Amino acid sequence: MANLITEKQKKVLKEEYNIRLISVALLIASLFGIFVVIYTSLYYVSILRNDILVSEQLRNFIELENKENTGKKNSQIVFRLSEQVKIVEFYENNKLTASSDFNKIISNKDSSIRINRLSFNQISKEQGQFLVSGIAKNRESLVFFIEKIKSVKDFKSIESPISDFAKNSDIAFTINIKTGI
Amino acid sequence: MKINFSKKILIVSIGVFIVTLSSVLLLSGLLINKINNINDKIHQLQISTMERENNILLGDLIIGSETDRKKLEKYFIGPGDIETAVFIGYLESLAKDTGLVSNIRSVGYETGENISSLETISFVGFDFSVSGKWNDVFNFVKLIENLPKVSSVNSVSLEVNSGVWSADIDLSVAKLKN
Repeated sequence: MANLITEKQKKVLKEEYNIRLISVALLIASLFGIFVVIYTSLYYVSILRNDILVSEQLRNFIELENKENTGKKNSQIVFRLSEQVKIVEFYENNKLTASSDFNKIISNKDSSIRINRLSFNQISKEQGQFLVSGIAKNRESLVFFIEKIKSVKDFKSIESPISDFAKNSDIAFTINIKTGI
Repeated sequence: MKINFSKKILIVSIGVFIVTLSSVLLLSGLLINKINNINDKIHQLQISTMERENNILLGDLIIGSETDRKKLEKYFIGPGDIETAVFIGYLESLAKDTGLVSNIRSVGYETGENISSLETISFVGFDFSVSGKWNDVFNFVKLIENLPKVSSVNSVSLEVNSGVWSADIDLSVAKLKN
């Protein structure tokens, strides 16, 4: 068969074919892209409507919350309540009662001991200090009284100045007692 | 240089393709951004709705506990100076009812690191004395120790003078702030 087309023409034709093929492919892709653009645009418009609705709902919600202010009011009440409960619990658990300890001191004395001063000082939330002053008939009765006080379980330390024992009768004494929970 | 028809079509196709691709990318970006934005708002709305529901529930509980809260508040001196004055009157009548003579020496707010950390409660210190018979004074001390208030007896000193007993008391009572 005779070769009617030259090599150069063949090359031109092949190039022309490729260009047209690419052009068609690009145009088909573009057409598909245009469909996507149209669909996306429509979808975007519907989404915008939803956005407006949600924003409006949120704005109304925030306005309502600001108007009623329930959250802030409630949290203030809860905070107030928690502080009150905390303080009540703390004082209930760390209460020192001087009168019961005064009773323990008084119940351990006999007629030979005359108390003329009893004092209590709260050193800390857990520790108290008692000072007992009075007149003891004699040394023996004072020693006996101090020993009896020492036997009280709740009293942690008992101190009395040694100078109190200088006199033999009508001894003015002071006893320092410390208690702790 | 003369451009043939096919090449012109190719140039136009490339142009259309670039424009279309850019539009697709731009719109997709906008769409994704908008969807994320709406999702954030919906999430915020859900959280706010949940918080509101919880607040309504808490509000109901708070309303339901009003009687108990009022009972609890009675363990404190109420807010305002008038409540402090009422409490001083109560101390004086307590002493009188016990058969004692009372003398309120000073009343003042207490300070301290632990106290100042409280936002809704303060402490009022009462420095006073009572005098009378031993039994009455001692009973009064017991009453003060068991006051129906959040209170603490910081110091108490019982002393006898010419047969009359007196008690110097330093009392601290919790008071609600305004």
